[in-house]
Amino acid sequence: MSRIVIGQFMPGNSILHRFDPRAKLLFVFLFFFLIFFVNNISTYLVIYLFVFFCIGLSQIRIRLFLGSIKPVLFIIIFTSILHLVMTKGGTILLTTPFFTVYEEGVRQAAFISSRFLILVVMASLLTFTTSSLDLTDALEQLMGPLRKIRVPVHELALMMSIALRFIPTLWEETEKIKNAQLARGANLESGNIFKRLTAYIPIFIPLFLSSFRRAEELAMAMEARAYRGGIGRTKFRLLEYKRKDYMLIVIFLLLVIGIGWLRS
Amino acid sequence: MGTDITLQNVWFHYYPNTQAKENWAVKDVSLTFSQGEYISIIGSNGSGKSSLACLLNGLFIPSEGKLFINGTAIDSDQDRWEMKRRVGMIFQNPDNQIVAPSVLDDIAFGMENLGVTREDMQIRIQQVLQQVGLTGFEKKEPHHLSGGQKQRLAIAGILAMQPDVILFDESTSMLDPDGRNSILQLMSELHDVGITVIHITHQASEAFRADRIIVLHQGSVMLDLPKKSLYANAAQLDQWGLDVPLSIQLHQALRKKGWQVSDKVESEEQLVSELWTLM
Ligand SMILES: Nc1ncnc2c1ncn2[C@@H]1O[C@H](COP(=O)(O)OP(=O)(O)OP(=O)(O)O)[C@@H](O)[C@H]1O
Ligand SMILES: [Mg+2]
Repeated sequence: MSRIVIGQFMPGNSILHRFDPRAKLLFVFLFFFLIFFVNNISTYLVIYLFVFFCIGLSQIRIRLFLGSIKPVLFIIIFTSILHLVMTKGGTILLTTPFFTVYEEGVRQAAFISSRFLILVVMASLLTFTTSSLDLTDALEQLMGPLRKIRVPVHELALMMSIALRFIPTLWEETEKIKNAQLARGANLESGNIFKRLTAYIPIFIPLFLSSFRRAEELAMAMEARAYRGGIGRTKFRLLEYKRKDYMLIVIFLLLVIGIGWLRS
Repeated sequence: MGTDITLQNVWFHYYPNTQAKENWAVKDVSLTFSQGEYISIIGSNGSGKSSLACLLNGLFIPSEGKLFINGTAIDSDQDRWEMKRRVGMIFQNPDNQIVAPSVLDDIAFGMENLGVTREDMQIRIQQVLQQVGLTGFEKKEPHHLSGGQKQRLAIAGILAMQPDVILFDESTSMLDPDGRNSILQLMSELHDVGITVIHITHQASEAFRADRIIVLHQGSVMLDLPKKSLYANAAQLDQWGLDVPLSIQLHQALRKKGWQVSDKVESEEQLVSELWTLM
């Protein structure tokens, strides 16, 4: 059970771990917008420097970031190739019977893949340094105002937290059922994709049924503990902005000014 | 102050209009549970134990009859909500009653529902962790706990709500012997500090730890006795599909064979001393 899930929280005590989750979430959110204003080599250099600085601060091994890039690598390569062969402009770098590569194409390919990489790395930085519980709390609080337009914020947050609670339990159960079916001679590894999918049906059906039973029992247990929705409820988990969280605003403003000045 | 629960001619069924009354889950039950008692409820599968338990903490509403707390009838949803603070319930499956992804958060869940302040929560959490023996497990995730530890966590979550009564609905049946013993031990400790313990079980040997034993059969109360009277009545137990503890079987077999064993035996110790004098 020690597989590393993509984006899984890596407990630690770096400065990035200690920022308030709301502050981090907001920062990353705004940062994503900022990325789209970055449009030349000097601004990309600034952003790259910033991202590497953050990775250094997080005290998390680079290997883990490479792990989270892997799943989107295909998209990055694919869009880069498209840009390489489709974009026209600037001097011609390479001519083949099928396509021509222009200087502008190389630029675009580099920029687009950089943008992707930076988005993925920043998102990973957020999830690596923030526990899912903290993220849930941060979302609940940041979305608080949406309650006015009847978004069930408390319920959504509770759902997320219950999901976090039960994912490992259901995972263990899946393994158990899988082993039970394997012991009965189920063949999950061979055959074409359709065969393999159908082989998994005897695993998913018991899992489904047991999940419904769990949900029903859990609902009873929650009600027995006097749960009746968000009314009159207090919160045990407390989020507090500290001085360093306000620093993030300053850092973001500096980035905005820098990029606004250097972009073309 | 405490909590005394009284059921007065209570009937209950999941679908009241579709079933003949003799098939209802709880039939004409009148019982009183006083503060500080240690009670076992035994009965075979489907005899209505869980249904009765859910009536006792306000999860279910009697289809007919009345429920009183300290003499006041429970009528409104608000009454039933307040009842849940007084009467806590521990269920059978340790996994399906833990709500939050960490021990601390789970203990806090019930208190959050009651609107307890954060400062009070901190104090109570430390108290109940100690009480159930989970100090040091604060940050643990539930799926890293053993079955017995999960049940103790569930008990901690209830204790933090400061109930007067705790219902255990077959809460030991999914545990290994160690886990089971630790929960039984904890029940006795809770009883010692004045909490009413109501233990629903299949296991006669567990039931005999209580001071008062109630036997349910097909939704009705068959027996409601202090433990010491049970030896005299135990012969009837197997007619309701319950297993009779070994010492009682022995007592009866000896009497049947014509041995001079007193019929006034009330406990295992007494039986042993009777046998001793016979030798
Ligand atoms: N959710 C339900 N819907 C409909 N009928 C139910 C439901 N739960 C229980 N019953 C019925 O009510 C009766 C009493 O069930 P109950 O669960 O109270 O018995 P129990 O003594 O707790 O049994 P067990 O030892 O199996 O836990 C049974 O006849 C059962 O079939
Ligand atoms: Mg039951």
